[in-house]
Amino acid sequence: MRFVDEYRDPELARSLARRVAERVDPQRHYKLMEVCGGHTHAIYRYGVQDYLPESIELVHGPGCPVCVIPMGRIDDATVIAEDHPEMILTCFGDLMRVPGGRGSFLDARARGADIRVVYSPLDALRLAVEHPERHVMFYAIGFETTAPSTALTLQRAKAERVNNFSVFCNHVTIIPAIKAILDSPDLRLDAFIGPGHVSTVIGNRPYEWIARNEGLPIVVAGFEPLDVLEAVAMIVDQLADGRAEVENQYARVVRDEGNPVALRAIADTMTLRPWFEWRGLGSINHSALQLSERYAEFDAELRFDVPGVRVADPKACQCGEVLKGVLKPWECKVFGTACTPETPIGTCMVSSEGACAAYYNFGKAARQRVELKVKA
Amino acid sequence: MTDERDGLQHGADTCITCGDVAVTLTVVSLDGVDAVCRADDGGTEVIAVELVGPVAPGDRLLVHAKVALEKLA
Ligand code: SF4
Repeated sequence: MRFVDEYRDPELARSLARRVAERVDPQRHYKLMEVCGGHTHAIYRYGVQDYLPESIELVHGPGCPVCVIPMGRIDDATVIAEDHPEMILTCFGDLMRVPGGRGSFLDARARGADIRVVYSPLDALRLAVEHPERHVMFYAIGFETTAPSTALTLQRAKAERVNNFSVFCNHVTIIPAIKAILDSPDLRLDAFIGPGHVSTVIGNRPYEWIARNEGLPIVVAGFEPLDVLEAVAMIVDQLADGRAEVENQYARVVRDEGNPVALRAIADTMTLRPWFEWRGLGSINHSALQLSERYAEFDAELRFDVPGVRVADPKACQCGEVLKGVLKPWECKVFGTACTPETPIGTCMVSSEGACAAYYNFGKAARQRVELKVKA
Repeated sequence: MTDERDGLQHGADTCITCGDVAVTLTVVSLDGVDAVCRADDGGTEVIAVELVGPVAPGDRLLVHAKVALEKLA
């Protein structure tokens, strides 16, 4: 299968669904966690759950980077932007509406701060070159999929000696988040659907401990509906055979070794933080990246005073339970009423990959058992 | 493509910080350490290709945040 339409073919979907149905144990309930928000989005958007037996429950994991940003880190950047008139704060568009204790970046911009949306950290660097009289700070966020673009930008900034550019680094890493999920007493999982594009960078080997030590299958999957269905079929096959292995459904993109050049760029420019606060999951050791000493001159946290205040989530917010897969989005008391994509209370409602937003936008249709959507 | 009113990017319903929006583009021409690439919808974009080694016109790349992450077979 090479082209997008082939990954959305309803007949192929039905044949995969039959394969799953034939191999499930009717006495058993299966809990499979999709780690990545991209998979959550695909599952709701295309109604993947509707092709699976009732006994297979897809549990949404913490892999939406916007969703795990704590409010305090939004406030920190807001303070830097508002305290420095020369500052242009740049970020991806998805971040603009994330609520902090002092409001969102959209609110800060309405108060007068210069906050701009970019598509790439390279755009932020170009802005710095074009405006030598200003300082451009890039709010870096994302898992290992996004860290290489920040790393490459830092390498170019250093080579080009751009000294009015900095990075406020919030990159997180996927393996400690999976460990935290597995340590959670609230949840018993049977297997993981592994993140496709994170694995493009880190490869498949970092997951081997999940199979070896935890005895759980993990299948790295692509983002088309048939990718997810095939990954579920591969997991059910493993469980039926009594196997626990790392398998790669997304071999058309992911290599076992990942992308060593990208990994070297990350290692050159960034280093592990001792700990990082994740929304909903709390503080996790060695789970995030900060700039390496070699790139200290570009580290916004060293160049500017950062308040570093911890802000408690709003009382009504149950994002933590949703991020750990303990609650379904619609089980949160404010889902769809006080908390909507237009007025998000929690981060899971902000990004389209957040479980709450994905369910809000597509889940109702999925529940009404819509047919798999085929792109014309 | 950006709707700055609501902070959504990529026009519709995807989030750039997530791997979901890594997209496949085709190299059209080389431009120093970058490559001009074309999307399926015909739009072109300058993409950094240092992380995937030498590329040539016709190569298909997996791209995230204007940086190529992988050369596709
Ligand atoms: S509905 Fe809103 S507050 Fe509740 S878990 Fe979802 S994002 Fe958080």
